Amino acid sequence: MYEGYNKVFWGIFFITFHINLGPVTILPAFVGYLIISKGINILYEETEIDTFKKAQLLANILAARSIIIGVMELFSFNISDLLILNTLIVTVFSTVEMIMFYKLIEGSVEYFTSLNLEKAAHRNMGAARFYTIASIIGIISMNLSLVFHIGRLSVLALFILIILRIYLMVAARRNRNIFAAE
Amino acid sequence: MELNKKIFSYGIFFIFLILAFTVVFTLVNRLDEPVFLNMYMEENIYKNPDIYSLDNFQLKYITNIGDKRRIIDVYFKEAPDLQVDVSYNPFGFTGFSFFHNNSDIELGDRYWIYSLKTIYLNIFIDDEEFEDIEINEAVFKFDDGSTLDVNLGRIIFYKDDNIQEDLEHLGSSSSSDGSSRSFYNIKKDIRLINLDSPILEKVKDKIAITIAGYDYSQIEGVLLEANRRLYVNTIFKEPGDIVEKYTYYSVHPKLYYENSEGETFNVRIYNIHHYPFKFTAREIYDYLKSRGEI
Repeated sequence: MYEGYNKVFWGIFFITFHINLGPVTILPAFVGYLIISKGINILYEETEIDTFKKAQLLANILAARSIIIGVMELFSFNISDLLILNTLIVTVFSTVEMIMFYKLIEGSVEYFTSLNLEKAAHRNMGAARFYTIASIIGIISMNLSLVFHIGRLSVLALFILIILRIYLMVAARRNRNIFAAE
Repeated sequence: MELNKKIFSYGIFFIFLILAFTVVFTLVNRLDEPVFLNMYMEENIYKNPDIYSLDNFQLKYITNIGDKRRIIDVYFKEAPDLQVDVSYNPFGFTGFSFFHNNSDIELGDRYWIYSLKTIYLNIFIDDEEFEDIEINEAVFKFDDGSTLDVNLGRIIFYKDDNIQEDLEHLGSSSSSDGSSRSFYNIKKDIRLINLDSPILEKVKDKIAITIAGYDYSQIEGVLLEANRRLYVNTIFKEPGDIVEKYTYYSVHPKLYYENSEGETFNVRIYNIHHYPFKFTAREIYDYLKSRGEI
């Protein structure tokens, strides 16, 4: 479990903070999603909770999306030129990401409950609630700001989405530390 | 966890509801073709230095965001011989900025799902004897080979070669509320005839002009004595609706008069204009709706 949550932590880190060497991205976003997928797979193998399996599938979809977008950008095809397609892709995949993390937290709640770790289960429940509400506000703000080009709304959306990634990293680390003695 | 599931399900529903709204809004309100702001203008063409030309004549158009086509040529149906250069930068602009490049200027200013772009025309008339040239229809050629026929309104290019010595222009002032005042020294006794412009009819409800204290429609026969001052007050009223607000108006009517020798002359009255200068997304949307473009 320690290794699973640790991988999720680093995966979120890599999808949030892109490390570039000049024009070359050292760790593209899809690597981050693959690390998250690997981490969730470890959680599934150790717990056999189906919710983790669903979360892993979504992480794989997000990795595939990142690869496709990356290849398109390599051939100078910029999807953001196409307003409707860009709005659809950004909103749908942000929602997929929200569902993935929600399922990951939901699976964690199930597991902690089965271990009678009430405090950890309760904390994760609170995390799921905060994450879901803030994500919904962030995704809707982003969708509206993409179409209506409202500067303040894009700043709000960006701020929420970055804060949420950091929040998830902290949550993954706390879950990992429960198993630190393993 | 039950409450979480409810929030989660309603949240996803709400996200997709907003997504559906934005997609439908974008699809329904897309423009089939770029829309040019209408113009009802008289423009003085100056000799510069050996050819008649008009520099940096601005046209504005609204297009869909993401429409990257560039206008590379303009041709006027009523005056196919006019030579026109077109640019997205003002001609003669040599400034350099780290923060703007040409492609930014060509993208225009974004308003919701639209982009407002400005093109600048340098127009050359290679004909010493040209009379007033009226332009209504323009054909724009884009860099992808497509063309667009547009009715721009009425644009009249004229050369002011009228010489008169009875009225000496002393000065004029104009204010941001659309009003202006010009004053002249009357050198000889004159009798006013009328005020005329091809586009006066179009703007008559939007303007007020008083000449020597008379409304411009009632000046016929008014006698003005030598060595007195002639005051011409004009005002372009606040536009009534959004289409008027986003239309360019500039009238340079001729004030016709007869002097004591029975000769007829005229003098142009300037500063009667309305130019749209402040745009908002909501107003652009209303403008396109009012024009039936969306």
